[in-house]
Amino acid sequence: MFKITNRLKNIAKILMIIGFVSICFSIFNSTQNQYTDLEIHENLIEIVNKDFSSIYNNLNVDSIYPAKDTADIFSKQAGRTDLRYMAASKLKLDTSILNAIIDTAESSMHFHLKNKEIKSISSLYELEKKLRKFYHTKLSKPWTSLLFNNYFFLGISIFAVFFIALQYVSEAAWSIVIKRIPEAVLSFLPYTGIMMLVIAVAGALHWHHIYHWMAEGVIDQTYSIGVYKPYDKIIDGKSAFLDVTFFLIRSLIYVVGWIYFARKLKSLSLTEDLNGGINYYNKSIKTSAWFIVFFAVTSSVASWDWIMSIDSHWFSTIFGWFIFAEWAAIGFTTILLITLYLKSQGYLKYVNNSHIHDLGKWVFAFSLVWTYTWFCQYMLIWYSNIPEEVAYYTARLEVDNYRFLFWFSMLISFILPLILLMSAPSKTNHKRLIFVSIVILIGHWLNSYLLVAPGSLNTHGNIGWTEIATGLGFVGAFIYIVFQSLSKVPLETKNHPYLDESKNLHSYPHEDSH
Amino acid sequence: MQKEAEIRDPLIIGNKTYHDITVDVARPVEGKANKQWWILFALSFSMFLWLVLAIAYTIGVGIGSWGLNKTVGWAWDITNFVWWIGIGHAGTLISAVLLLFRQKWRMSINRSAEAMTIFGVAQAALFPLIHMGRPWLMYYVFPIPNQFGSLWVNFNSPLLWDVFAISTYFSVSVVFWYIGLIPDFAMIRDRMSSKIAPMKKKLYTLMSFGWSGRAKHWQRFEEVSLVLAGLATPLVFSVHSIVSMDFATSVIPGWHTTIFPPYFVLGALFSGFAMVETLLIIMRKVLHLEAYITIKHIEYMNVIILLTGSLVGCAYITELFMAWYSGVEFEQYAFLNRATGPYWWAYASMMSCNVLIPQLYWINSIRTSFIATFILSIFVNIGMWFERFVIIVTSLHRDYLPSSWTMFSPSFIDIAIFLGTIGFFFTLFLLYSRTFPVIAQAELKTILKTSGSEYKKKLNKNNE
Repeated sequence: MFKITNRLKNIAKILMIIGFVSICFSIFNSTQNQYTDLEIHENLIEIVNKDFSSIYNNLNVDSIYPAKDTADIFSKQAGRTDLRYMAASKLKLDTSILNAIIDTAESSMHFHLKNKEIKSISSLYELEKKLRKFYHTKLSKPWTSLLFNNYFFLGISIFAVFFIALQYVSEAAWSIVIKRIPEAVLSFLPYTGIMMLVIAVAGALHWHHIYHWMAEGVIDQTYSIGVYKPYDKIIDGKSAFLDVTFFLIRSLIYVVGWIYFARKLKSLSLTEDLNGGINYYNKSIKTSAWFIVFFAVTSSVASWDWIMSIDSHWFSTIFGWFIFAEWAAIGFTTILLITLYLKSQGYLKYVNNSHIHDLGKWVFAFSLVWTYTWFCQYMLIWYSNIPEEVAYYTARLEVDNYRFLFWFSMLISFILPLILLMSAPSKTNHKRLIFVSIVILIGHWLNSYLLVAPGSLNTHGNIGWTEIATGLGFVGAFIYIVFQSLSKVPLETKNHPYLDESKNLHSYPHEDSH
Repeated sequence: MQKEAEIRDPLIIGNKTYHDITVDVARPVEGKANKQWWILFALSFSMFLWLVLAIAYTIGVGIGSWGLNKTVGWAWDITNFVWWIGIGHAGTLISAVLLLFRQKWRMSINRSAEAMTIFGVAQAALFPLIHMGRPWLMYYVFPIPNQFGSLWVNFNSPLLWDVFAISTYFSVSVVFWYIGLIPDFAMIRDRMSSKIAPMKKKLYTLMSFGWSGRAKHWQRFEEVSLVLAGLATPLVFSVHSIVSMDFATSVIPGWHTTIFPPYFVLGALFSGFAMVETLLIIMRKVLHLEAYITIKHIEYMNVIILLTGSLVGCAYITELFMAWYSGVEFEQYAFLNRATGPYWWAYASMMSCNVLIPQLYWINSIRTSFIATFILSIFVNIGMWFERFVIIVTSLHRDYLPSSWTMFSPSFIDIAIFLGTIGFFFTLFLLYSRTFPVIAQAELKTILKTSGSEYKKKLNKNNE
């Protein structure tokens, strides 16, 4: 039996507290001085009408909005508006007046725009647009941090289920001695699954603005705030799929389905320990096959839902498989890391260099498979250079905040494992494996950030304290839950028909080199 | 010694000894060909002669002898090319990837799968060659020095990447195949009498590179096999990925889609395994190899076919969905036209042969039946040909300009060349089956005592 050390437990707890406090603090912070699109509009009307009504001089409102149309105009408005303000919205204003408006607004609404941004504003319409972006970003920032961290750990925990299923359907024996590790990792799945649902529901309630297609008026042609019409024809074309209710139902199906299979596979394995017999093994194969069918479909669609739809216009057919490759890479790496940790604590006496070598090969292989799918997507989009597709990469490569991370995360998730894990002995060198594994995880963590942030925060995202602290919180929770679950059942399986074969695995030829 | 779980099915059936394996594998090489072989050979060879005539006609008259037109400038030629390359794929997976995965069942089938790869790639290579019109100038596809003329290849073109990918693939496959053959050639050499067949003996002596079976030789043999497997594994991905880029780098609706590379790779494995099954199910009967190519081998391959077929199905649906989701009118029409346009029957054949029919493998009795597998493997072969036809012709025949919309119909020469390559392929394969050890007997012997049915029984008894 494995026993979690107090030190590890305390570290996990501290990390959890750090994560929890930071995320609560930043969500609280983001809701302070927060304004909706409509409130921004109304506040600006108030400010302009009060102090800057001079801009309405020489404005012939009646010719722009004839009296007979006003009823129609007002009926389409989301809230209160002002015809004079609307007529002046797109006028090019004097910089001095505009700056004065911005200053007044800034002091009452507590926003902060960079000088560069202020310079690019020339009308009230553009000011509103900038402010909408500003408040959306402010609101979404902590949720973005939560989403990408959760996505990362959700991937690790759901991949553990896939790992077990894969072993059954391929009649693999080597992994039986480490089988309890993925069985423990999958116990984190309910937490990440529920967190994902929370994020989805929060989106539906407009607590954040990560999924732009959920925003009000995006698929409503008649909706407007002043002269601003949020209607988006492309998103409207997708609205049969990108529908909030349908999205929530789908998310629920994935999460519930995955948790069902995870629990079923785990309980089959545990009852096999108690009762023995070939029956549980056969049942596990069947369950695994059904899980793989379910997962093949849901993992792709889930990645479109939760990640791809953040960049609402963009689409890529490989995306689901790219996400799967990422989950596999981090999933294998985590299983390897836990194996090495347990080994270093003196557990897992049947695990020898051959098992470690096999795990090392999987980590190596899936780092490359991930790179392969990454490259397929990048290269084909770059080569064809079609505007609607390439926008996804320009949003990452032409923004200073992301450009470095983009290449850096790709390089350390690919080049480093390629070089450091190429030779056979390196895949059994524990120190090197730990180093490479941690680097791979960091690389994919950064990549996960880049899947989400440019879409949800536009150019304003950056990895700061919130992102890192949330990540640490997840690490803490992961350690706490997984190791707790590991200590509840015996580390060695019993009665698995391939157990003996697994214990006697001697495929690695250089047994005594370390 | 390696331990094997009791519940694993045996991979060698019957009370075989090491010597029995030797005799069984050497028999087709040493004995005379039977009637069935001659019938098949006569048929294939006459189809091959037909191919020669059709190619001669094409080169004499020009590409105009094919059914191509100004809108559909690529049709059966590239369809056949991709189909053959795809068939070649399973060989590399079986020899390289399954070696890395320590799958013992590969040992009875890898030799023939690799042979199939090489013969398949040879058929594929014919198509770009004859499409050039003047194949004697083919060296211009390589980046040759300027002294040959100032023509320089276009490094931006995926067609050039294809040249590199396929020639690398072909050479690595040949080397891999040959290295594996050395101990088996030596076995035939040792059995051959220099008095009865002096020429044959000399030939096999030459081909076995002085193999002696010493420990040192074996150690190097295994080392080089692993290295080659490591080199060949990325090739499993690269070759068909690059073939897919011939289409996917373009801006043609239905071609430009990012899932193409992995989806082509899976499709290739799918069709490759189907062809391996077609060949092996015949071969095990004609050459009496029932003890080595068992229903378990077939079942494993069927599982891979079921997996890859379903994933290809996922890719079809993904493409269809994304075409709608993208909101791009042209993309949407390309897929609507595929499914419901004038070539709907090609799309329907592709969907049913590749996605629906392989689902029958969920049924245990079909998965473990030679006859059912043989029939299904033919369906997959047909379906994968249609897949390429659908991708290529239906995307081209209705392009951006409705006034140039047209249909494609193959000419007599198109059909002759395609059927001819099948003849050529089988001619090569039949010759191979009479002169080469068709099972990697040296490797197979290493698992006799763990996976032979009689040995397994004895071991299980001892354990009890």
